[in-house]
Amino acid sequence: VIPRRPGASDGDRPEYWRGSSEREVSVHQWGDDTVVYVRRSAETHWLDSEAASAYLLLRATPRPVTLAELATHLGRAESEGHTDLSELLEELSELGLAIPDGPAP
Amino acid sequence: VIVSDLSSAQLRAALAGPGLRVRTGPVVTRISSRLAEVVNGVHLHYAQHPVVDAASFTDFHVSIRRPYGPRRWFKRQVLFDFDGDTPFTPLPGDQGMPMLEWGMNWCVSNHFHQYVTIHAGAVERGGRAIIVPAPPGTGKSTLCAGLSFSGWRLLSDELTLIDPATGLIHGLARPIGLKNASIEVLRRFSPDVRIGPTVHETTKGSVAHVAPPPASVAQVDRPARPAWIVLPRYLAGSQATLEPMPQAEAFMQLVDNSFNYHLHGARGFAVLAALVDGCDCYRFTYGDLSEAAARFALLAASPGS
Repeated sequence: VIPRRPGASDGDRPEYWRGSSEREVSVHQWGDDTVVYVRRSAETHWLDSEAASAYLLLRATPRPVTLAELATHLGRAESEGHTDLSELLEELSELGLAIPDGPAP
Repeated sequence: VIVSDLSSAQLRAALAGPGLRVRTGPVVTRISSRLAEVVNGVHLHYAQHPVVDAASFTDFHVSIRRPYGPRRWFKRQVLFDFDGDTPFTPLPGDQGMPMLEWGMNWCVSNHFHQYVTIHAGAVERGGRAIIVPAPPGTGKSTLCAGLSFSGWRLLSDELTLIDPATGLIHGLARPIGLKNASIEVLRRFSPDVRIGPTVHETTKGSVAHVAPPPASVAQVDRPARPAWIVLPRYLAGSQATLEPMPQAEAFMQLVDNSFNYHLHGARGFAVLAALVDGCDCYRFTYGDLSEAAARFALLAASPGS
């Protein structure tokens, strides 16, 4: 475990996200099932429907997308909050599918 | 010229001397050996395969030989040579023929990258092929062997070669490797099979190879269109059951069982995705080979897409 500096923080969770492009990621779908190939890692992943839906929205939108927009797209109620969405996006980021594009304003 | 056109003396002389260049589908292998069991094995298992002249391009140069030193005579061993190198540790002296087959598989799976190669069996009937991807021990080779002797054309029991340009399967029609109880199962299943000697106490247990059906060898140059992906599971006492499998799952099975998908990168992804697009995908559980063959005959009779 790396000791944290006193007063250090992770900062705010990113609010804006964008998707990796067609050049970086190949996508194929069968109904609700989506598989992706990430060129940088040379890894192939089978995404669950929510992760696929989130990634495809990010990729199809030519500007960074907010957590609120993503929540609406996925049919989430406002009251649910965005914590698990942030976690989902961080997982997509680890896979090379999503890129944080700025902190919360 | 095919191997069975050669007399025993000619075959022995070729294997002991310049090597015998045998074509198995798109692969040409020069085989050398002085060992009697290898000469007999080639005679039995490659009887119908074309012999290629020395001027033709040869993909792999392999030999099975005794090691130099005491193990040539005492507690004998065999070695597999590939292009002058010995990539494997020696095996006990009676395992020359299995070692040749395993070595030839290794040559293709490790070096034949113009194809996307899946660790899978494949058989064809009526212009449509089944791909049977599976790890060892799932009944893949037994199923392929049974189908190959009941109306299906053997493409391979082990290595399915997908041409990235066309998406078609190119067959090898090489001997089928069987293990343990499967050897007797196939012997009972079809009196037409020609099974080589059983070699005991290998790393895989008791193994024997089955000569490919002559008709499969004769048609090996005809590529086949993949129509089904079937993930088998042998379960003693179970009824033959074919259950639909999601295409994404079948795709991931192909990826996981591919030898060189990672080398093809995004093209490999596109090739396998297109392949799965054209296939119906199933899980198949079986406990009896005859019942399995009957179930697949029904599949072959189903309307094609």
